[in-house]
Amino acid sequence: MGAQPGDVQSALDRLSQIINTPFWWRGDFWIATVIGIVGALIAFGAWRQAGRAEAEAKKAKDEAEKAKDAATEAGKTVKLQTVCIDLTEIAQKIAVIELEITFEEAVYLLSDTSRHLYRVMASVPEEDFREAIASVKTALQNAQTSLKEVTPTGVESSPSAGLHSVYYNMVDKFAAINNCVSQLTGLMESKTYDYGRRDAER
Amino acid sequence: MPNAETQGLQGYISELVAATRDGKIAWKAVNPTTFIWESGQPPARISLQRVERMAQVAVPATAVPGRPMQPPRVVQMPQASYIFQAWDMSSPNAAPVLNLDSPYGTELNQPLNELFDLVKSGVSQKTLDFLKSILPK
Repeated sequence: MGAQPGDVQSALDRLSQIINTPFWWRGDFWIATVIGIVGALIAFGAWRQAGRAEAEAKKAKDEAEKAKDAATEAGKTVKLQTVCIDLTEIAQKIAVIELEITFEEAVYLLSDTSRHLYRVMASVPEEDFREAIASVKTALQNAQTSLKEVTPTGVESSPSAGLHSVYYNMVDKFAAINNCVSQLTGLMESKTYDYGRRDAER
Repeated sequence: MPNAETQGLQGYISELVAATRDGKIAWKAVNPTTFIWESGQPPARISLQRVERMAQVAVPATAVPGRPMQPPRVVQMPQASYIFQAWDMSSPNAAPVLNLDSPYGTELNQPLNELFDLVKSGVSQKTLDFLKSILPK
């Protein structure tokens, strides 16, 4: 059965109508467009969300690092405060020397003081107190040298002799150690204040 | 200007220096920096001790070739001070009748420095003489 010329013409007209119709008039175009736009909006939202999450994570990391630093500094402060107490105790021990001090007592006092000071100084960060620590060490060495100068020869070393030669030779040296220890203590106290202020600023 | 007491002590120290030089005084070393002399009649004791103390020392202007002139200045340096003591040993509780602390720069420091050097070299000489005496001949 062959097609009638009228049918062909009608089909051509319909085809022409379809071709001449703009694509935005078509429903499937708008469906695809809407889906595309919604997809893009969702992707953009997700990207912004990810950016915000990354910023939050960075902020949290910074806060954690600050908290860690603050804890370290607080630890340092407590440590320095303990050292200051130790140094004050040592300074008090050598602040007053008896006029009747014997050579043996001076040897004991100096070695005990020296041992305590070296132990305490070893526990603090040397770079912060280099000069003050060097002064304390020099004062200790000077005292050791002076002590050798009053080593008894055996002629007379009884304290009842009343010479007080050990006292006269050592009193200035112990005073020098005391001054240096006090200076070191003062520096540590000011550092403690600095650390505390820095913590507060954070 | 030295007062009468200082002048009196200067004279006494000069006499001690002369007597030590003549070998009339037997000084004994109590320790490397302290010497004593115990007199028999009347019983008495003299001690002399040298102590190193930090003192302010005036340094005159110095010129070092190739460097700027150093102006006069005052620096802290260890200097010898002397402790000079005398006891009257005739009383049961012998107490010092004189306790003289003569820091660097005072009037009696120099005479005591001279006495100390003399006493120290005398004691060293005595020790050396003893060491020589025990050598096999």
